[in-house]
Amino acid sequence: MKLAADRVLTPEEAVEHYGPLVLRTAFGLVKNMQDAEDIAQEVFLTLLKKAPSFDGPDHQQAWLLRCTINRCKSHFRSVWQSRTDGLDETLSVPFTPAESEVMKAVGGLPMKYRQVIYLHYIQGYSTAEIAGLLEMNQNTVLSQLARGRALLKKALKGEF
Amino acid sequence: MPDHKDYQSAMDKVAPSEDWKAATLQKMAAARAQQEKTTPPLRVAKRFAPQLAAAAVVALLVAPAAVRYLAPFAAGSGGTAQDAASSPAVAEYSLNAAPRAEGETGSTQEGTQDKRTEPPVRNFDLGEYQGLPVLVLGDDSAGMGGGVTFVAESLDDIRGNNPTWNISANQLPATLPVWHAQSGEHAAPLAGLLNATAEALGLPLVQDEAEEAPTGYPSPDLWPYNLSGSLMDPDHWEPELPLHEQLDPSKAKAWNVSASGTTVNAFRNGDGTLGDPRAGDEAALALFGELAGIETPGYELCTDINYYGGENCFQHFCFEAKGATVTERLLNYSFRRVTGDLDGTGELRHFNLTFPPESETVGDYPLRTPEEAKAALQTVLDEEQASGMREYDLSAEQAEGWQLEYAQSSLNPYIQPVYRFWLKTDLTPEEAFYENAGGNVYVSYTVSALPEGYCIPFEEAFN
Repeated sequence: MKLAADRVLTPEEAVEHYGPLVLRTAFGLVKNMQDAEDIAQEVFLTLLKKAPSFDGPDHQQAWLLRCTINRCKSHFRSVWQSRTDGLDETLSVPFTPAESEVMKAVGGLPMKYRQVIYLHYIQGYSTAEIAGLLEMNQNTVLSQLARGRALLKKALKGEF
Repeated sequence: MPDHKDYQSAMDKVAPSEDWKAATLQKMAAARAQQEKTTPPLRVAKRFAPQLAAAAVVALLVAPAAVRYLAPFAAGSGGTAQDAASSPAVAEYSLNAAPRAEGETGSTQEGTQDKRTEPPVRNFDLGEYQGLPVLVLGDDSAGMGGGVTFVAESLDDIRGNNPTWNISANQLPATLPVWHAQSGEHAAPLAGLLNATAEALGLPLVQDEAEEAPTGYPSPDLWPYNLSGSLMDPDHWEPELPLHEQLDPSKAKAWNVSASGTTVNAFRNGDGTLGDPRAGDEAALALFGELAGIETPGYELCTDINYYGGENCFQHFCFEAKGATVTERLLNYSFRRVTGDLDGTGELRHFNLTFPPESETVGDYPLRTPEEAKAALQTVLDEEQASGMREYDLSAEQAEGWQLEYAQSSLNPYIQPVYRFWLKTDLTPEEAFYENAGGNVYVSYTVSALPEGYCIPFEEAFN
């Protein structure tokens, strides 16, 4: 699901185009829609205030993802603020039972596994791209992906 | 059974509401209006203005030319390494204490200069223990467990050249200094690092805003942040243009620089780097070695085995290898480092500089013995095992060695010593998900180097 625009967008255009990407990424990591919305809003405000220069639309998209992940990590530092409402209370289309089960399993993964699972399965990034995005060794990404997958297979008693 | 397709379909349902979009755009409009009312947030280091002509000579950043430019600066920069050798005292590690070249007036423009003179405000207080402030230690793994896994033929390939590796107990320092990480309210030390780097390259620093602590954070003191900016080719600098146009990569030659903790990281756009991690060491040393206070370079090159069975370099740098005491050698090893990578044309493309801490010293803290640290490690391992974080057995008795390191990360409000233990697991590479690799599987864990009472985990401090 790598849907970069055909050019570098203004911050306001980016809200429209990359809003789903940023919100989904935040939701995938913090597991809470209210927190995800706050984080996504902060990301676009940062884009506006910092006005970073981008080589192209792919670079802008990668920056937004990276910024979102960093904001999510900051969120986890604010442990005293964490909220624990349900996963799908605010969704217009509710999850199916299978979706709920898999979301619960992914949500139960440690953050380091959850982020690579999300980036690989939802955003379609290769392990090399994830390594670049997260500034990690590709080996580490590979082993985290494999370990995350193994934990999910165990939790779901099936394949992933 | 549910699988990844259910995960994908579930995530497809997560979409921003119209209300969220409207609220976000409204906030952005307010922020834009505020920006237009105030002066641009980006600053150019004024002291570089007279140097622009000279800097233009080296604007292509070809290492030998930059070295020639650097020479007069280096000559005037003072012998910080000599100071370090004579004493490990914090003040003598101060970059600011080094004499400035004639005609230099200070750091970036007024805003930053003013901050340098402000007394630090520290309103976060966990009390004292044995006369020293109680510290909080942010755990990089955030309680996720699992350590860091490496596959290698030998531990010697991955552990580096830390001067405290398995030293005897009687060689251990009695105390080690601890510093505050730079907080968002006091940017001067980080700005100083960026300025020193800009000066070494002879390019003006266009400095961005510092990262701010998020709303609701208990104390800005606890927010280690980074400061980022760009080093601009003066030929392309047109102050009246908006910054994003200045930094258009099709027009500008800019280094992207950022500073956090004690390290400056810089890269510029262009071709990829050469495959040999050693390519660039000499250029980086020539450019920045004296600035970092390196007189007797030691080298660290750590390699592990990658997923496909090939060699992978995960760490390399040059460091100041001298020091009369273990403490001096550890501080030099930790805080006087340079690394560089060349691109295909032989020009420096990426570099990393680590300087001694410039922030406020918290105090000199006593150290745990390695045995006490090992007991703390066993507690961590037991908790991991009990919570199901780790799927294989691991005991502190499997540690093949340890070393003292300084922990610096975005999760640590202090720059403080930790023990790093290296454990050899019973796993095969395949069991560790390295399907095509041979060798042994090692994991490394860090635990606080301070005795019980001086330091508590971040989560405990706030729960």
